[in-house]
Amino acid sequence: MAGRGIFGSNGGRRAKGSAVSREEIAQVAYELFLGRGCEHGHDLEDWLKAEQMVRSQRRAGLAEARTVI
Amino acid sequence: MALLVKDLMTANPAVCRPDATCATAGDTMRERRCGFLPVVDDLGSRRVVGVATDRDLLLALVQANRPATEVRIDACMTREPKTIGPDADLKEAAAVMEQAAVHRLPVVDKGRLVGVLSLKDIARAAGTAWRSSGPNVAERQMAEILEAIAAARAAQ
Repeated sequence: MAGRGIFGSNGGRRAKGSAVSREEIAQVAYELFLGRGCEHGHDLEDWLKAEQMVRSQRRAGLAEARTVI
Repeated sequence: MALLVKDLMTANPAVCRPDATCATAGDTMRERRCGFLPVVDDLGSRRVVGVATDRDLLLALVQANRPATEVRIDACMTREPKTIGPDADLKEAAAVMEQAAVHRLPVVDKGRLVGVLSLKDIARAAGTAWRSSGPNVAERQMAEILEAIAAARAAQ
């Protein structure tokens, strides 16, 4: 998989139906890692938490947009 | 007397079924503070059909680009993993770990999961032996085991 990196050939594109990209989740997960003082061993926990946070933000954003419309 | 797998294993480990999602499995790992889950076909029979680590789950989620609630653990588990019996001695367990290049083994008795043996369990026992009894046969045996496993992983 040389040259594809961890995100593979799909890059940071948003998954069908998920409305959230891996890049967004990875960024938040990285911030959680930094916030814990770069303590290793919580990769999965951070990813799952980041996914929840990004999805919640997205849902809140959509709800707000609908209200404005 | 040689230590046996059943002396050091974690009994009644956390498990999940093949249809569990990565979200559920991740929650279980967090709650039970473990990074390894045997996957059993049924919570009653506890027949091991696979194993998954936190790394397996994470890589699967990154690759799948789907919510953790939509990715099943059987999509990322290692099928037909190496196992060990509870009455095996540590040398045998270490040989299996070395051959498979893994840190953890499901302990299976009569087809049923009864525990998990990890390299950490062996290391912890080694530390206890060193503290309590000084140089002895068990200590040397465990030191050899740890060296063999570490060498096997370093060579990969």
